[in-house]
Amino acid sequence: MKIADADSAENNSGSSHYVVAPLSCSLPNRREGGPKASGEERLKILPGTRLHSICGSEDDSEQYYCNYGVNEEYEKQFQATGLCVSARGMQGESRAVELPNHRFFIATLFQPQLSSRPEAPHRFWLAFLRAAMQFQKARARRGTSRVSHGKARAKTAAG
Amino acid sequence: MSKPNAVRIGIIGDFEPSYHSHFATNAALYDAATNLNFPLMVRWIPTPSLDSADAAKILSRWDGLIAGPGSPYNSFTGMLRGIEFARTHDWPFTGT
Repeated sequence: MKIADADSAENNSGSSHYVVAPLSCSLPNRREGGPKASGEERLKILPGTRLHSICGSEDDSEQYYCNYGVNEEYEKQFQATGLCVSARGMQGESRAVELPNHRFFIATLFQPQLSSRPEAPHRFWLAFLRAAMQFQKARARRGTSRVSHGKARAKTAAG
Repeated sequence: MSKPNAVRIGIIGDFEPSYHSHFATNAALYDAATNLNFPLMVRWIPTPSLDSADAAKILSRWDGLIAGPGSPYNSFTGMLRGIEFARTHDWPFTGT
């Protein structure tokens, strides 16, 4: 985002640009003694996103365990770099972001691992592993196991 | 030892066995690999190890990268380097 001192408020660095900030609201089902976002929350997954193609529907419910999230004041700047919001909480808060032109780049505030089960692994992890397997095969076809540093794809200005 | 064709997943983070989220991340990955019927190797990459000139070399060994839960990290810079590598090199990545 071209913000030199962008930081997370959790690091308490004195930065004037905390792009990651404490969550403003607790989840209604917050666990006693847990962080602000703990327990289950209903959310909306935005059609047309990769996350939507993975989860298969707009309505979802996921497990959380965190205190910090995207500072909504910076959401437009995040989006200007190419990141798009792919899930929102019921109050419209960003709950997941992704890079549309990337092989697989999705970050979530919720933790799909918390609701994954041995007999029913979460679809998110199945999709991520499929992407990694395809990438492994593509690299094997190219005959290289090392990154080509000269061909880094500077896709966005995020970060 | 892992099988030679195992899909290799590196989790960037400072593993703490008592954190449920960390245990659950490992478990979810292995459960998913079992469901997909392919061999998997998962290792955690300590964040301080990426705050070095070797970061790209370390990260490129993996077929997929995950920014693990559990901030604050031992090295925030190391975590950012990992995410930046995945973003700019088109490496499969997620952070949860």
